[in-house]
Amino acid sequence: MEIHNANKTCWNCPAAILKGNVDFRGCGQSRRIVPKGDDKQLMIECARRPELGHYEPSITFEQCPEWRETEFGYLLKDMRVMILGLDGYLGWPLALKLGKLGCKVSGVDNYLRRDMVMEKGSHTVVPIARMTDRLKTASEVLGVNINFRQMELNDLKALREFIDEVKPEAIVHYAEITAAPYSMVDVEHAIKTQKNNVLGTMGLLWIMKDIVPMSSLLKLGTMGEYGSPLTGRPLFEGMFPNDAVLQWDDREWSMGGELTPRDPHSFYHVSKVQDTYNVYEACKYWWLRSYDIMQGVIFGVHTDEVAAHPDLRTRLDYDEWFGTVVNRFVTQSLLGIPLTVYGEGEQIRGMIALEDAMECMVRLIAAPPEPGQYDVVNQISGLYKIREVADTVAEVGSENHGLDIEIQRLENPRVEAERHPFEVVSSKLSKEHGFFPNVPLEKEIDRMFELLSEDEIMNRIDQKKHVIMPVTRWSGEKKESGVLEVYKPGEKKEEGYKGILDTE
Amino acid sequence: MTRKTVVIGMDGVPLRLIEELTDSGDMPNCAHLRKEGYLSSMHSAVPEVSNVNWSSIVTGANPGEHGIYGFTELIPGTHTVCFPDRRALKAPPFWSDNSKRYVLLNIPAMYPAPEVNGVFVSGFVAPDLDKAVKPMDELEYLRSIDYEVDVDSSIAHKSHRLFLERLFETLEKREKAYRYYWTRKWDVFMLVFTGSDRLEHFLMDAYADEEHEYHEEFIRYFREIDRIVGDIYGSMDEGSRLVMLSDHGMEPIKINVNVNALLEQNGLLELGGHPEKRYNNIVDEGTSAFALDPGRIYLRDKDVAREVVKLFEGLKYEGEDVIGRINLRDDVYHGPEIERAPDIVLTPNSGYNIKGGVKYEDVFEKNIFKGKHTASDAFLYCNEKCIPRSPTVEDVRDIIEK
Repeated sequence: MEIHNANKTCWNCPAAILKGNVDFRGCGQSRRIVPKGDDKQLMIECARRPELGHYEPSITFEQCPEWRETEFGYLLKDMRVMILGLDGYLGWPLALKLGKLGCKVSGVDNYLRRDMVMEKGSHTVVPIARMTDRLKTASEVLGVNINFRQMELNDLKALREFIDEVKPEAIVHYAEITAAPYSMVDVEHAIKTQKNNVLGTMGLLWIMKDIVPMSSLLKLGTMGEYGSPLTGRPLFEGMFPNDAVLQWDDREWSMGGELTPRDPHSFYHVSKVQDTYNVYEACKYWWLRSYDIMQGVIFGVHTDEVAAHPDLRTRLDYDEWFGTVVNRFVTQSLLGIPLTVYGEGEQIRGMIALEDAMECMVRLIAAPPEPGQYDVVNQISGLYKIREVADTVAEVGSENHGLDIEIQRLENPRVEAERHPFEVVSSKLSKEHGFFPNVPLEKEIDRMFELLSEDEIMNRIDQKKHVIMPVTRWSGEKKESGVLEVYKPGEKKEEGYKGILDTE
Repeated sequence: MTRKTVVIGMDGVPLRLIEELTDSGDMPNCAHLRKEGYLSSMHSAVPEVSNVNWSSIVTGANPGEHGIYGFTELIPGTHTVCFPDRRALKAPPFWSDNSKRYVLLNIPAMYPAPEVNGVFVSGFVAPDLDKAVKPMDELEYLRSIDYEVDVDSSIAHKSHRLFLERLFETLEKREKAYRYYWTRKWDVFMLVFTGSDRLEHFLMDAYADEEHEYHEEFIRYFREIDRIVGDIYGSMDEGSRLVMLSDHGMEPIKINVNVNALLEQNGLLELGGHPEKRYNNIVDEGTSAFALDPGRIYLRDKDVAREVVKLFEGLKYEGEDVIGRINLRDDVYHGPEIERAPDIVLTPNSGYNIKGGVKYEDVFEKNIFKGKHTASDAFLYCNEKCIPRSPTVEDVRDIIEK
């Protein structure tokens, strides 16, 4: 099978520095970048192979000695990847994976996630080491050396200096507040979320324009940007496909290439939508390149690298703000708390295991978009109803770990459709980037039960169990949700809509 | 003490234009010099593109010796087009003689700037100013006047008006730079005007047509060059040598001729795969010949040489022969770099603009460009009697150094 990025060329490569055009017929030069001009030839210089002089960007990754083959496609030798939010649930495992693949990993974090979880009165149930210990262990156990700085994303001066020093060839932007409930706590939390996310990203874009315009930006978005349209309109990958048509008043227009409508679920999701527009515009104005990664609900604890040593583990939150649904259900199972399904439980969500998400990220880092290209991928490996997720967790918990698990439906603290059609298009990762999910939901749930059953972790889960039940309501009230119903797994009949995942 | 030499280059200016504008009174300073000195036509290099010509002018060498055959080459072992610059020049230029001091401004194809005994500012193609200037501490001044190596030619594709405005701005900055460096200590001062070539490429039709919207502006540009030439000549020390030259001529385009389209149509070139035509899509098995700009034909299969020659000998447009001369490698090139030379180079008849890109479907087509290079009517001037008979660009170095 052909390697997914073998035929990408210097045009995609972050080491290629655009030098404008040579205008043969006018015997002149132009600073303007015109990729396809009759008489103009785009000219680049390779930051890694200056001996080639100026040339057109057409050497393929397969041909270029700077790109070497890995299990995830060709990867730029010693590729400089900077991870913003390196201390987080995703940032840390990605740093280790990239480091193991030979990338020069750098990153920043201000430990905001640690602080916010503490503010909630919670802690990560999987204990994580201090950053200095994490870095030391990464070096000793995996041979991965990470260039880390403690830094606020909004400290533009410091960020600019660090980016200038490292000159990253890819920037993974995970440095955002990730929790919908957190953004709905009160005005301060809403503003903090949007300020951190929207302004942080805006600052980053300007710095990239000035210092590393060829670097590829991998910006974490969320499937929640799209909402769940009640019409059942498919959730395309960011933009309408070429053959999409808008009909109205007996007239019709092509919608191909236009951004699809967004219908976010919370002020946090709104911040992600605003990011989308800011990144989209920056690509248009400044020829930056970016993947906006609409990630589904993430779950799990495992990658080969984090499993290599206790000090390399990544965090796992279970509180009502930061605990994602699968992670929360597993800890509730271990505590004997009925799994908390909000409202009908008929909400359908795209999901992906941590390990699969990390592989997707590596594949995307290995296949940068073209200059000026804003691209979107829907990064999910399956669609699940929340009620079904609860059933699956209960099933794995009882069959493999002897747990007796119940499920409770709670008053929904959120404003969201509880019963809706849901069709998601997620074909780029498989068709263009050679990714196929490896980690079924059941498998990762089983791994989670294994890990979380360790005594130390069980103690930690027990210590803060009061933070699990939702009290943050979208109405602004702070009130625990009432229990609508308690039932045994498998008791509910299949009903309602079925999620449709289009991967072809 | 070394006698001083001043060299003024005018990229792409045909002898005919100098003669006409000096006769008409539009270039009075050049008219005066013409009376006092010696003006001749000059043959360009093969092919007659600027970087080949200027490489021959500064080295006195044949392309087979200096190794520059055009604006493009293919990276060895690939079909990736690269743009050779000064680093690819294999013959030593006149400034390698360190016993003289130099100010060398805007010489095309000499990027990045070399170390010289004096000051060097590269001409086009020069993507970064900071690599176009030696020594580096000269950058501060050039940045302070917002110096530009070349007018951004992409503007001409949008607006001739704005293009002209920028062309004059670039000339103004060039003049500032020359005045700034004139007071330095030097033995050879060389200044090349390159806007002339741009102007002619886009507005050659404005020269002949007095009714043309930009006819006056076209002439004004040459009046400005003449004014600067007058200033330079007026401030030269007595007994100094003044050399003026262009690298090639220019004439209006009748029609563009796409060499690769003809090769493709005749089964000599096969492009496949990617929908966008480019050199990287050349199918090796189906290709025995391909061309790089402007009319440099490389034979994969030497046995097709006769077929290719015949093809272009027979090429006609509206009953007229398109190709004037078919140059074979060994007839026009000599030297250690000859192995990399094209096998055949086409020199067209008047009005036919030979093109070597692979993007074109039709053999004959028209586009925005109005002027094309010519090979036999560049000009060479010296205020002293030192020009050989039928000079070529390879004779200039001797005249500069004598």
